[in-house]
Amino acid sequence: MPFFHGFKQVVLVKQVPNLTAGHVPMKPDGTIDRSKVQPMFNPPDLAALEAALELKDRLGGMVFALSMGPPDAEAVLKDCYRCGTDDHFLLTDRRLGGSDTLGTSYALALGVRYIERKWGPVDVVHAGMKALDGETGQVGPQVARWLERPCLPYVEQVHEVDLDAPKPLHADVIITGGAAQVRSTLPCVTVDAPTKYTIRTPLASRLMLMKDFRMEKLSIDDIGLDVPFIGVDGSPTKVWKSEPQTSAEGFRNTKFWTPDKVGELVAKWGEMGLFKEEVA
Amino acid sequence: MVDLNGWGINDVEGVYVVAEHQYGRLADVTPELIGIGRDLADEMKEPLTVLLLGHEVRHHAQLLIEHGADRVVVCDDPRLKHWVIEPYGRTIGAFCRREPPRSFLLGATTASNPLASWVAADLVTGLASVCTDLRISDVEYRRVMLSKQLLQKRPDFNAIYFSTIITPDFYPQMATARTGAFQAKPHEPGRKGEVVEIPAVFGPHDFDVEVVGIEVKPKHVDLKEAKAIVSFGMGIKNNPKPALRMVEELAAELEGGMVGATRAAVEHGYITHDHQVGLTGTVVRPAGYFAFGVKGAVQHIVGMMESKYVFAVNSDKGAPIVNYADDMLVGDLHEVLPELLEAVRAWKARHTGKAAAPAKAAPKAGAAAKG
Repeated sequence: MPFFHGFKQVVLVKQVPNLTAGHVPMKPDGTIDRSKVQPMFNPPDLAALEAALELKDRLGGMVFALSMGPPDAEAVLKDCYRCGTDDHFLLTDRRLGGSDTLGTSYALALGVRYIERKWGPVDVVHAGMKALDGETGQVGPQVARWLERPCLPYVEQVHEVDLDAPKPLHADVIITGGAAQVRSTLPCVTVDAPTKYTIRTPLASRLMLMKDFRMEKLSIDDIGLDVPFIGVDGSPTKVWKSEPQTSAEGFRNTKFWTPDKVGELVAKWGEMGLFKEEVA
Repeated sequence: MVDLNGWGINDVEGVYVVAEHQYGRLADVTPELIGIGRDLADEMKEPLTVLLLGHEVRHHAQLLIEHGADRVVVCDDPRLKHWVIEPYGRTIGAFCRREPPRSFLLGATTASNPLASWVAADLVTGLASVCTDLRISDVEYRRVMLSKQLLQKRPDFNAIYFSTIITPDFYPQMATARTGAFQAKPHEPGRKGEVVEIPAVFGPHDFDVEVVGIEVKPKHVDLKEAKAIVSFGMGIKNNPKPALRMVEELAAELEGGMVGATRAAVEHGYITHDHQVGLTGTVVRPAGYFAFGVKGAVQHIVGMMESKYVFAVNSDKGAPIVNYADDMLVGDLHEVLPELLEAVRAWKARHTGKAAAPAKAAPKAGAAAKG
């Protein structure tokens, strides 16, 4: 496979169960009934995808989408393709099932290395801020650590990429209580924030051309994964106990009121001292 | 191949907390982490160490001790002027390799969460993010009794249920917590502790990210300062503008009143993120919490359930918020709000002996908060 010499980016995407619809189907044991939950594209990853595609619009080159999950996670890679990505990789291996972030980020880092063996060195790896089904937000910085590349958390906007400068990437990042302008060397890992990106709609030209979609399925042997901290058994963190939020912790003895009694209710608040003292 | 750190239960000691600071002051999450860290350390009868990295930050050390630290490890270096992951993480990783901790806590904040993630990978251990409860307990795991394990309770699956995480066989056992999740201990002026200085440790690529400018955006509202919060959720969507105005008016009538909102309402652009109550916003404990059209997603509930008094209006009697309210009015908030406002003004008029005059609408929620 010939190397590609232009600007290259990888976007990390995840398929998550769609739990945003409100009602969550639960099994009698209190866990989520996944067979009744539709999978979806992890929304925060859309910012990462958009960030990569915007840079591609400006600099040209190629964007590769990398995901890890069950075989049907192919769907999120197809979504990436419809928006404009060029090649697709799905890490799918039973031995990876149930990995926590440490193993996941390690496998993804090796996935990036695999892509680099195929296409040549990658300039930017994009990650979303978090996954809706885990809310850990750890993958981006950990991939950066494994790849020994600088990590830029919470990039809102990339201003310029001056490939001749020692620190080519110039970006705005979110910091506590404000924003910072940073410059970084390439290659680097960005964690992209959704605040300023406008997510594009799929390309009409690609909707009908799924036959051109290409994807490689990778096992842990393909990426040469050599660590024990993967899968349910190897992951450092274990779920000790799970409690659905039907537990009555924090429940109060609720008193019901009707609209004709608001006067009484307001008098109660007054006696509780909740109102602001009027300034005479 | 990555080398596992190989630390066993007898190779590690104590609780570490990383102090977060910005613009020359300690972040609120730091005394809170020291507060829960103090409890964990006391439970194990082991010391609590705070790691303080940065440039010209030494003077915070005594304050950290007064908040409850036994020892503050200071790394004060001009190259740590900006909070950048690699140089901070490398120094923290190196110190942990020298003196491995048993439990390790950082903030689940913009600054600390990426750092915590990076350090967890560097030390090849697990990390439980956004914990809402932390305890020390003996745990039987694979038929072996392990002592002094960190039980890490956190919301999972978009905060629909809670998991308790353990990290058996791996050290340090790392966790992050959001601002407001734990309470700081009372400040003890003159409390004694040890201060140790360590040199910074850098790798060859640790200055690849350079901060060239910082812009501080003033936060308009700090909900933690509110004595009363009037919150709204997607229930306002049928007629958002007048509903929002009435929510602001009600907040203006309340002592220390501010406007809060659910994540969905913020994501729909009805109000800015600094008004968001919940796990991904601000965790609040006001004297009065007034929820209008708030369904009660767990991530919101967790952020307000410790309010002293809760009143809710919702058209759905089966909405989860009902369980967490002291007083509940089932109805359309667009109809209830005007009646409530009128009743409030009538009550005030009676109690100040003046005629009911319509209170001026607050120009914006932030201003209403200060009144």
